[in-house]
Amino acid sequence: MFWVGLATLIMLISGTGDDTRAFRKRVKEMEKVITELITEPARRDTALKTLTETQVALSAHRTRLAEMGTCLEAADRNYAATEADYNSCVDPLDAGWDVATDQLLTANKRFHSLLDAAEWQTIQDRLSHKP
Amino acid sequence: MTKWRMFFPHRPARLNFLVPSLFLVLAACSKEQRPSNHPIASIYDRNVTKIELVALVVNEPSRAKKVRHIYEDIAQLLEELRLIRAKISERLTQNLDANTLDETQVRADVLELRKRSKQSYHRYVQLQLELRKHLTKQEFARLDKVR
Repeated sequence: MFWVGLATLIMLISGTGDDTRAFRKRVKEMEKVITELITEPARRDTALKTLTETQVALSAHRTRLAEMGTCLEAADRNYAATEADYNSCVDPLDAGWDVATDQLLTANKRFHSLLDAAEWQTIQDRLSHKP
Repeated sequence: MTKWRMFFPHRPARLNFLVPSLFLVLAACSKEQRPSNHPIASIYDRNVTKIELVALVVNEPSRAKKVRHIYEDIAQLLEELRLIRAKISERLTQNLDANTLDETQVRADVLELRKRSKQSYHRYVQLQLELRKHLTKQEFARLDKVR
């Protein structure tokens, strides 16, 4: 989650490298490392579940951004668009940032409690890609 | 001055037609399904492509000048926002080097992003509404067909 979540959040903020394929690739890499590294089934399953939840949360935020883009394009193309029309496009996104950040940080904490320092370091070494 | 104007201060008139056509050709030739653009990139593209076309659509020079300035202001506003976002993104990236996430910093960065984006968005909406004051419905529709 550490790399996948934060890196993806950064991509969503910067608008650079915001690529669904890159995102999926990162998630796959993380899954692979977790599966290989954590041999205890219960701990491994919890880690994988946390990863899935993070993926879902970030995908939901990506969807909110896409919906905002569609709404804004419709307003831009409408001669009769009002300020209220424009505002309706961004209102849902505002709360969405809080949700995405909370979910990201919660998942990060859960990962920290699941992994010991050596495992954490191994994951960082294996997934040393930065956005 | 927008990036567009810096690179093309005296663009030949023929390019006014060529550039939008090129966008269409490139889009049509793209075999791969590209991921959807970030909304900011789409907004930028949508507005910047109209800058050079205003004079062709709006016949009154004084109105054309005003409309063109508004599109240039929009382009500049979005470029400034892109720089702000890049700066915040860079700060967050530094967090990747730490062993533990600095939660307070992450939250502060996201909050700043929201605040700055909101300010820019408010200004963008005002400029969009201003555009409509200087364009007829027909002119607006013709410009809208560009992208």
